[in-house]
Amino acid sequence: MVRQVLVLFLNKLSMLANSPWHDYHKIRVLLMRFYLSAIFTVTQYSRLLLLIVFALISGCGGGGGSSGSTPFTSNVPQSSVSSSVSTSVSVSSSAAKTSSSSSLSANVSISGQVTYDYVPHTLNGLNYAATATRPGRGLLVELLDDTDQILATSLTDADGKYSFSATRNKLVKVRVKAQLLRTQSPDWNFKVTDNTNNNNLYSMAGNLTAATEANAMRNLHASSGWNGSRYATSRVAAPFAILDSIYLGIERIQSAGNLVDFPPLELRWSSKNKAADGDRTLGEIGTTFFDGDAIYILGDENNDTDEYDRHVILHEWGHYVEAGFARSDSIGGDHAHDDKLDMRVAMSEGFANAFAAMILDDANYRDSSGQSQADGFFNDVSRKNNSVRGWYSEASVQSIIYNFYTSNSGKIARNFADIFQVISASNYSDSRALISVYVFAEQLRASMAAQASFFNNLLAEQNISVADEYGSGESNSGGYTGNLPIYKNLPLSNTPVNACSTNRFGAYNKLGSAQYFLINVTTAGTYQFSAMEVGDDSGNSDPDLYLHRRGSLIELAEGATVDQEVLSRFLAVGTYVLELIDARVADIDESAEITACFDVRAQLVN
Amino acid sequence: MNKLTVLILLLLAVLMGCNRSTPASESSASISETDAPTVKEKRAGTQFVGKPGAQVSLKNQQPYYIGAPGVTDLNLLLATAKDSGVMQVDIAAGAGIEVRSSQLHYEFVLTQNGIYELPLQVAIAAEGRYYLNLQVSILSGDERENRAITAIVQVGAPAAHSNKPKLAPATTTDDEAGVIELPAQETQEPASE
Repeated sequence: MVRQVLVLFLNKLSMLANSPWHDYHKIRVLLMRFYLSAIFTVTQYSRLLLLIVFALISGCGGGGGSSGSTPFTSNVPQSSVSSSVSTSVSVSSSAAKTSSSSSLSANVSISGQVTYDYVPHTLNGLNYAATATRPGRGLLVELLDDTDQILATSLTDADGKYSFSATRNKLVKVRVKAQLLRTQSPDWNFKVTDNTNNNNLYSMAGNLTAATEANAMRNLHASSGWNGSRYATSRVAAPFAILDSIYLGIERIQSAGNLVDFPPLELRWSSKNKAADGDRTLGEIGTTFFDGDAIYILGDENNDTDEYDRHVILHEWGHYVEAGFARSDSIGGDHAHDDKLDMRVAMSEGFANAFAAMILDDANYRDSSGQSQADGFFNDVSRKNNSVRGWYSEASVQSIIYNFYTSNSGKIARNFADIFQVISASNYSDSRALISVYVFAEQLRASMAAQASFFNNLLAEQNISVADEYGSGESNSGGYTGNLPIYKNLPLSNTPVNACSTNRFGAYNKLGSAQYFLINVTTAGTYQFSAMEVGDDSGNSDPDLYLHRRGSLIELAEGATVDQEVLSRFLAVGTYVLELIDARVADIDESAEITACFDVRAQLVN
Repeated sequence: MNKLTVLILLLLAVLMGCNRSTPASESSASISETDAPTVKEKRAGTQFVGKPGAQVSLKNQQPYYIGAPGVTDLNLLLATAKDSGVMQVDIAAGAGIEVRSSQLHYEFVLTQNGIYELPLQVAIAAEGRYYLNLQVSILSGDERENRAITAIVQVGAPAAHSNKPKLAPATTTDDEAGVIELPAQETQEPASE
């Protein structure tokens, strides 16, 4: 009997052999069931051993699914999202809600609504006069006693409402944390913390009052702190305004059919956060940005605050979405919508701009600043007649994505699922090419063939050729012929291929700084790549080489040898991208215009 | 059931019940196999993705060091890769620093590789860390983008600062580690039927 059960167990185990790590608990459950079955078929001695084993399994392996356990890498393969998957949009309270009658029990029901001051944005700055009260949705709410012991927790619903059961006449207070939390899959955990105060979590709390029917309704409101001319009191609303923008994003992603846990994220805000590059613990954060770990948000009154600039917050959150659900190969850096950018940066920034506009269904990207936050600028993401158009333009990328999103040509207009299914597809994150508008286009055409023609027209309007994921056949050079072809094929026969790294469009992350080579390895072995300056002497060049495979940097060579560089690595069969850049053009302090040309070679050495 | 079977089962239990691959190890094959920070360091640490805005930056070393309190001339330098259009700059002093320059508004016609100077005279009464705020707008054609830039002025040696939570008016740091309690505007009333 035991052998029969054992065989059954092993068969099931083999089926789970290729499960991803987060299905590991299924294996543990299976093993426990096996032991339970076996216990009743054996001798007393063996039964004792099996009971010990069962207890061992029960105790080991950690707890159940919890937020923060999801890997947060840039190319985590995602299951494809079916547009037919229906996912609950509302973020309902997961904690217990007591409905017992206060007249029958020793408990009292305490409930209420959480709200915050929402300050709307005109096209030229914040409009405090139009401040509105909005519900604080999806927030973690706690009931505390007079020793600050947490008695119960709950979550606000889509209307900002919560409820608790409290012991009659017990001194309690309600506290709302600046935290969006969900523990069921897909789970999320977003916090607003203060980077100038040990990254402590913001919250707001009510009064400590004895729980009776007289105060059964406790509404908590977060004030902006604005008195008509300045921030005169605590800016309690700021963290909650930030989170409500994130809540919108969660809603849209869930509506798009997402099944994957959100990587946990801190959004770090302080009224001290200013546009100075320095010590982040002093608030010297430089700008609002996402650094792969957290989003830092400006809060400097009369200079630059971003807690109410929802496009700004969602732009940065869009980068987080790229990193957590899709893939971005962006190298970051400064960017403006009329820049000619490295295609990776153009794609990432254009997507982030479009993402913010899509989530808010507002094409005007707005950013307030200046005295009383009454100044600022806006940028129409849907604009097509941009001064710079091409595969290197974030303005082009944002226009293409947003105008596709809003189109009702053979599709449902403003259906974010169309976009999400493209970027969350495994083919997107596993692309052999670096993520650019070409990869996005290729994936969209593959998943929505009926939309291919319309989408190609959007590309053409932005002077982008219809091409494969490598941009093969692109004719728009951006003003420098050396930029084409976008990927130079590099044979493995030690035959030189010439390419030039230039800062003529700007340093570091601008068009032409990096040049790309496509390498197809058909025989595994150790390969050597080299770059040597040829042609006109540009001075002491410093070529650097970076080898990528499906978006992962697998090897680099940044030697100090003048005019040449060598990189060697064992390569399995597959497709690789080699990136070449002269370190001088990556230097933002380099004042001279440099164009350095190199012969790049590759060969099997072992 | 013989002892060998029991031992095998025990071994399985130990291996499978207590062994759990971590997300990091499972996903390690999918992330860079090299030390990515080396690449980032080489590329001047500008890898983070900041919000859109006028492409302009401060060329001066940050912080700008001044040896002692008093009146000082300092020259702020702005750089932009934009080579056409107009750049407007408005200057405002932060708390504790006085700008004595008569000109607080500048306009520059942008040229290629231009460096734009803001000559200022400031007065600072005591050692410490101060800020000068610049509101920068770049107008090119019918497009306008803004950027706020803050220059750090350090008078005397930087003060060592504690990372311990600081108490400030109208906020309390909860006994529970890591939570800042701000005052809510609370209304309490009987619950409706």
